[in-house]
Amino acid sequence: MAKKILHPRILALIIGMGIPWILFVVISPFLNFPEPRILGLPPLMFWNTLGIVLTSLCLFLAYLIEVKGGKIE
Amino acid sequence: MNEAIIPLAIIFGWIILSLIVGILAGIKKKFTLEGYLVSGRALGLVLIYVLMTGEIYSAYAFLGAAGWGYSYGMAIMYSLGYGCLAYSFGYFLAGFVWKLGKKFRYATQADFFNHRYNSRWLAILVALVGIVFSIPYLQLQLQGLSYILHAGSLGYIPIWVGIVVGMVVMITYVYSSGLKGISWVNLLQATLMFLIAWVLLLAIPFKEFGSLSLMFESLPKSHLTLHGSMGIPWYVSTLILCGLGFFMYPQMYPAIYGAKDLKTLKRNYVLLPLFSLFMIPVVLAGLTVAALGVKLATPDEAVLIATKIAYPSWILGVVGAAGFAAASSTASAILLTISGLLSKNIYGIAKPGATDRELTLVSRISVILIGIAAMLLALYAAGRLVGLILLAYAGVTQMFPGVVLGLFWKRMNKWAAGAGIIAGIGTIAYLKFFGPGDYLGIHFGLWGLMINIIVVLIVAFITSSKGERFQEVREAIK
Repeated sequence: MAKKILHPRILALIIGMGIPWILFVVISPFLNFPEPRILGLPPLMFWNTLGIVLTSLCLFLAYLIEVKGGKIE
Repeated sequence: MNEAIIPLAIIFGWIILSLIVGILAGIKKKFTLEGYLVSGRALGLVLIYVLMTGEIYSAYAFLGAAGWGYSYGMAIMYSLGYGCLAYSFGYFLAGFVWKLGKKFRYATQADFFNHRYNSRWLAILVALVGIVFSIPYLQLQLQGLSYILHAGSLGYIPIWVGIVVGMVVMITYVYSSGLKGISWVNLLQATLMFLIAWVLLLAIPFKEFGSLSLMFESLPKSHLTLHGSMGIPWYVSTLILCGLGFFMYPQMYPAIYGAKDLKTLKRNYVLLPLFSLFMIPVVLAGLTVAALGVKLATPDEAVLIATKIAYPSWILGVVGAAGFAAASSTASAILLTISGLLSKNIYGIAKPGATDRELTLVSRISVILIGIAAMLLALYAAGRLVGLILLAYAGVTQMFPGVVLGLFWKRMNKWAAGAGIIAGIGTIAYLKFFGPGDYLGIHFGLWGLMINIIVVLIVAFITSSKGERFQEVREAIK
């Protein structure tokens, strides 16, 4: 039996809630500059747009972990 | 009149279509209370998704987001952020809420308080707080709706007609079809909002400036960063407050209970952030107006002005329809939620022997009464409840310890939850009306939540949680 490093619910929580909160609450305040333009957007706007897509991705991973761990029947 | 024929036809066509779909959703159905308030817990992924997105993004997702972008620039980035924080928190919270709702047959937020804390008084307090902060919000939606209809019809639909028609249409389909009707109507509304943003609004900066970079070049420098009273402390504290407080709004609960199973509910949360991308074209439209150097007396008009600048006038009719869509999808859900709180948590507790049929009838009558009350408020006292609106978000957030600690902490009890809510609301009301507002640049609601949590911890340690149902709740969410 492979050792369980993390309980699936904890792992899902870290990925599904930890990462998005870090993306926005911890990282985004450091991107408060007018330049450079990324895809035409100021850094903060680019980051928050990317963050939306990444949040969906993180929640999808959390969902897969929960389903696999038998947490969602 | 000629120029207005097409916009008016689009707007009224859309309103009538919404009405028909809403009535058909519940026709020939005999509703139980559960069937009426939470659609019998049987909604699939598509309906639960449009129900929530329609509810969450109101008329002010268009008016306010573009208006803020126009006035303050990057400060509006908080609204792109907190949605994601709320959804990632909600993904986990809603799972517990749904499981409890299914097992103990909750239909409102106050039902949880009633059951977990075994306290009718706490349930009534929670229901009252929910109602007090929801009614002005309902009224505000109605005003936003009539305002967009007025502009969209090139001024041919007077404000009062917009308010009356909007409310009568909503009362009709909420009365006849409950949550099921709202979810079907929201399928139309969410689709229209999405299309308007991605097709009409996204093109505006490109039409006017050729590229986004050029548009941002033309913006005043102050629009490109967070600064001043909307600096980093404000931004971060608002993200935290709104991210945690979002799923404390009472109207979010029926939508959660309505999901047919846990998988559907969680998939819905996985997809929710993607809908919020539609805010980006809205914000860009507002920024475009600022970059063009147009001076607006009312910044909330920015999205309408942007449309006027970039398109022929009849397109405004489509925007008018979208305004109806955005406002009615939110307002109808609030209307039903308030009715649920009134019937189940106030009438039902005052008269414990009430039958299911009786409560369903009380809910339906409440829909009509609350609808008319909100309509009268919007018509005759438009500015009166501004104070409550300023407090609404921060106010509902004060439920947070009661909900979250109630799930996980054994010592949490009714005294602590009740005292926390009262202390939190007292703090925010004081800061907003008598104190410095966002003290030290931190959102006043977050101060309220901090005081709230301190009070909760103290009271929980000096009082007993005997006779409450922590274990039962704990078992159910395992």
